[in-house]
Amino acid sequence: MEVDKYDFKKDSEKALNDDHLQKALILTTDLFRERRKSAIENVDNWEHLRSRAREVKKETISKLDGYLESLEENVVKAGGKVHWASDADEAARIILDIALKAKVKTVVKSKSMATEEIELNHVLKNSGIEAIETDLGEYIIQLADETPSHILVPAIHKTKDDISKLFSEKLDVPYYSQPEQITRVAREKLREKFLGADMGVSGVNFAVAETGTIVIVENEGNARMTTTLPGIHVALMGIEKVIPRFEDLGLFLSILARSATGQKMSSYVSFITGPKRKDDKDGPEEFHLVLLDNGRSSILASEETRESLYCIRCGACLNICPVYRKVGGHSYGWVYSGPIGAIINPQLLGIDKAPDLPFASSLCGACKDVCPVKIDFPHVLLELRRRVVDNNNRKKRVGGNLIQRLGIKFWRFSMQSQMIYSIMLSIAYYAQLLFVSGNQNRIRFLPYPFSLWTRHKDFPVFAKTPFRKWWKHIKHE
Amino acid sequence: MLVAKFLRECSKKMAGNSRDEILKRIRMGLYGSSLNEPGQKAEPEVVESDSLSSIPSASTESLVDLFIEELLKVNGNAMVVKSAGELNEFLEKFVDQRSLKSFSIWESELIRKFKIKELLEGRGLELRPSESKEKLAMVDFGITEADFAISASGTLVLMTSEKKPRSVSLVPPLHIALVGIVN
Ligand code: SF4
Repeated sequence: MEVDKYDFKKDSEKALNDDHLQKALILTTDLFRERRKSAIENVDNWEHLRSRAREVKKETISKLDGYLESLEENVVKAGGKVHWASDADEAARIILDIALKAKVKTVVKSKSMATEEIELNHVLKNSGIEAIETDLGEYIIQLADETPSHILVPAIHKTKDDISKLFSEKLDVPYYSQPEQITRVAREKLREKFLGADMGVSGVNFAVAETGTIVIVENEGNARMTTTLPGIHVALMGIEKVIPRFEDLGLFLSILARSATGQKMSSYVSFITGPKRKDDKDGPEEFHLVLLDNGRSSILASEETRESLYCIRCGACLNICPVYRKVGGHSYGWVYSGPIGAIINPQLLGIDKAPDLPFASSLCGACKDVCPVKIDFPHVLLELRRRVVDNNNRKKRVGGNLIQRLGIKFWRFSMQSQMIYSIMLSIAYYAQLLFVSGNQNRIRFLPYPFSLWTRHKDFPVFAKTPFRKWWKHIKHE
Repeated sequence: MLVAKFLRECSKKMAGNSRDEILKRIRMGLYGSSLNEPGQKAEPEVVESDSLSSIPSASTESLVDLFIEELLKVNGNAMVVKSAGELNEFLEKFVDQRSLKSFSIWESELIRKFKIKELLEGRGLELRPSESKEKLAMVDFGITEADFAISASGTLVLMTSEKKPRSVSLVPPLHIALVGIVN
């Protein structure tokens, strides 16, 4: 996918001015935080489980090549086919080819962020294949022709009223105000699609190397329908989703459900090992597993940020993040949002495509505290910030940001002697009076070049009495 | 742009397929060399088993109670039956009250032992095979037998096979699962 540079600042400003969105974000993220909190309260070895999960992920990623090879071997043994895709285009082409070869007309899809990454719906549509999202949230987003704004609650930015209107417009049904009515309409429409579809495309939550089993976690039963009813099942996974042993699932399933929705266990957990067996009465005839790299192997190459690949996509870091809770998912510009988006979007897309994201964090570390695999967000964010700055400097050596360089030269000059520093402070104090209104202790607007600062942050007011003088004064008293 | 794309395609072709490319990139990233034992197999290490510490070490009865409690929380229903007679009575009442006409069923141990298929057919219900998804879509309910029931979360574990098709618990609007209580 070719993407232009994303504009976090512009998009987040839009989100901040959307009252409607502001309410929806707080309401939903609060709800999920509460649920998570009460779900882990009764688990007394929660911290131990997190550490173990991190260890297992660390071990897996550190031998990823070997685990992927045994996964491949065992999927093939079970009768499945394995495809490797270097990038998004290749993955989309592989899936399209499978569909074209089997003359597929309709595809049902269960929720998968990886398919968003490769823009599969778009690719299928261009070849005249209808692709229908079957997760209720994703279905709503698809009807509205939008993109998901939360990895678990894709339609978090939509209100009940939005959805009622959308359904009556797009599906030719009356305006239903009750969620139950809306769910019923969706269920009826989708059931037809499940029965008629020739191919099902799903994501993967975990892929067990030692057995070749893929595990899909969900709450609506739509993923199980998607992977059971159509004649072909294609599962798309990022290469980091592999786990070594079947036994590890006990650990991962308990921490995933609790961190994501606060459930003890998700409503449906499907274990799929290969296609339908010879004597089976149902299940797909063909099973394809597509392994997607799309930048992941380059994340792996940096020891500083390798842990970004431990993520199990629970969404807890989004719900806790003071930035996500204000700016919402769309501000992050690409598939992943919140803290995890801030660290993987720039790494998957290239740092120059999303240079603002590593800065879209207060480094408060709340994400690190909730993350079930203990990703050290502040550490990774700082490393990425360093890369952004390096990248900018490299560019500037050619063009150059004159203002910034002059500013720093000036700063150095004024810091060199105490006298110059004091004089500068007094000048600053009097100069600022033009822009301070009343008793305010911050300045909201300054003219160019200082507007470069005040556009995004308030500027603190210089004190009338410098600290040094004040301190002497206090000491004498 | 076009030329760059063309060159990229060519280099891809020359370097072999994506599988080798990806594995090579991973090995370069991890070990600093792509030649580092190509094809190295990761052997899963044996680890202490990880589970929630709050596993109740309780009697079967209290586990059954806990299971029912958790199942109710997630909007399921449960019923303990102590004999073949009680089971039959429950099923008869269940299908009559809801005027159920058709069903789909697993051929599992308990289901065979208690002749549930015969019982329902005897009451005039129609058995629908699970091969045809169109037919199964219209069926009133499905009956299965759980391999395990997890008390802590009210979860059923169903293992599918040729005599135990996945669709039976999935497609019909109602699902009855038998769970054997073994002491
Ligand atoms: S980074 Fe951690 S908290 Fe965030 S989605 Fe991934 S696993 Fe969950």
